Amino acid sequence: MTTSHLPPRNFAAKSPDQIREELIGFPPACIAAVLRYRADGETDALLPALVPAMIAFHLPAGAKRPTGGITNSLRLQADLGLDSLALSEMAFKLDDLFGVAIELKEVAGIQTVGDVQVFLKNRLDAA
Amino acid sequence: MNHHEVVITGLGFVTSIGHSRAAVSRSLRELQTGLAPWEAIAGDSAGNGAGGAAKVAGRLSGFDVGSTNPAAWSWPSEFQIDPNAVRALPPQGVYALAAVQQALAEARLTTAELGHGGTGLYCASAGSPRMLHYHLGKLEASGWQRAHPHGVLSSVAGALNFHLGAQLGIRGASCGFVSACASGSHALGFAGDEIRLGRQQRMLVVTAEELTAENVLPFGGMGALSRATEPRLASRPFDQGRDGFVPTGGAVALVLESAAGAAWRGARGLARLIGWGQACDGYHMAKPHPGGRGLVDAMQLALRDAGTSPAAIGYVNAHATSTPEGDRAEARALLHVFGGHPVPVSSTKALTGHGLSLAGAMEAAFCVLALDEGFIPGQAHLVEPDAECAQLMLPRETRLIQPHMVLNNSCGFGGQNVAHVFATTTTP
Repeated sequence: MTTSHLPPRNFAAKSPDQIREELIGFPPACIAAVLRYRADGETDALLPALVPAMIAFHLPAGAKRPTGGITNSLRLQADLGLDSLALSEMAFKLDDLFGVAIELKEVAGIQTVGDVQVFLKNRLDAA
Repeated sequence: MNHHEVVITGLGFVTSIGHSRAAVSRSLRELQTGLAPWEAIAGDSAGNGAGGAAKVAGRLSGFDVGSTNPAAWSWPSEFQIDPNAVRALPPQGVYALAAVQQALAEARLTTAELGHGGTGLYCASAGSPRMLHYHLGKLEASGWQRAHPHGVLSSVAGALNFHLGAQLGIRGASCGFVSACASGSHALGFAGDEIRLGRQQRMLVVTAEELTAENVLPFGGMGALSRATEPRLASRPFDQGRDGFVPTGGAVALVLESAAGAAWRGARGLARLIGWGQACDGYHMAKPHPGGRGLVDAMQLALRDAGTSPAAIGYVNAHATSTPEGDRAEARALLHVFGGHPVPVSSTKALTGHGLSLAGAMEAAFCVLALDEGFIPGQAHLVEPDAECAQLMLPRETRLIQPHMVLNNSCGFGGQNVAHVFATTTTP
């Protein structure tokens, strides 16, 4: 079932070029998904493209990427090596990108890649 | 004091005159300048930083770390740097990683060999005014509510230490040095002492500075920057037409080891650090003492520490930044110490520009090259010596002769002065 809401107002007000600039270093497919979300507000297509890329972007230096990709069941800390600082950085990046306030205490309990998707979907849909 | 002998076994360069030992050596021999118009090298994509008080700067070809978004940074492909390792770095941290790679390669060391308590890390860097400016601006705009997690890590003066210490797995001594433009020389001197005193077997010394409007242009308020627009006329140490310093950024890394430890693992010593001295003018927060009294003391203490005399010194790499008062004070100090023993003197800042915290170790590394390869860098861009500097021996061209012992000067605001003495590995 696809879910469509209006994207957050501050995010929708950004130009495509501004979004591309904020996502320098991200894969083109991820940037395309974010731009589509800006147009249609559909999170179901956005999240599988954005969240793994967002996590890969915030992996620690020298971390090996899982051979099977960044899948929903992987644990952020135990499997991927994301520490609390990296998690804070990722929350800040999402907050900056979408203009949705994210408190550090909200992300502290997030365990898996799938949890990030659920959290972000709820936050974007509620914006 | 029971001294262990200190040898330098590795050098790494990201400088305006080259990003490798070979390129830097060639520039010093041929007196090729690394300076270029500021607009071409240090203005950001929005045009910020173009113009202002600095018209010329020391370029860092192939590196683009001007954005406040580290994901947009790039560096020459010969440097193996994980993009995920730079997210929280200050811009000069990229230069530092590239310099460290070269130094470790020349010393034939791997990162894995640094992870014991016998290897320490001393750094000098002013932090990143650009990243501090950016993050504080964002924080203020949020009503002081939203602080970026990397706001501190990418900005403060200790950033090099904690990033490099973690990335290199350093378990020994780690410290940063802040004494303005003498910072790098303090780092090097105290690193040498760690080995001489037997506290560390090996020290990595890394100094780095960003080249940004935020880091450089505030010096314009003091009238310290050259207003010249022609690169070959902008940085003119000891010349009567000099009008201020030309900024540069970059990084230099040196591997220091106990001579016994280096010999044990078969590493080649490039030169020895045989003594150093430091002394303060106690005179003014920014201007040097007119007679260079603190620098005189620093040089004499360094010579005494090295157990040598002015007559044994074959070359002096001067601090001279091309400011009217600073060069004159250093000339007076040099004539006081070396008056009876004329010695070739040059300031390589004519070619590189002035690297602030980076400068002392950068020029120490040039001295090591001079000793290891057998040349004396000439005084570039000298047209007509200042009347008070004309008594110095200022060779206009690089001389291909072997110095056996050299002295390197550094001076910082507050009259903080440091001098090092280096020798070839074979000089008694």
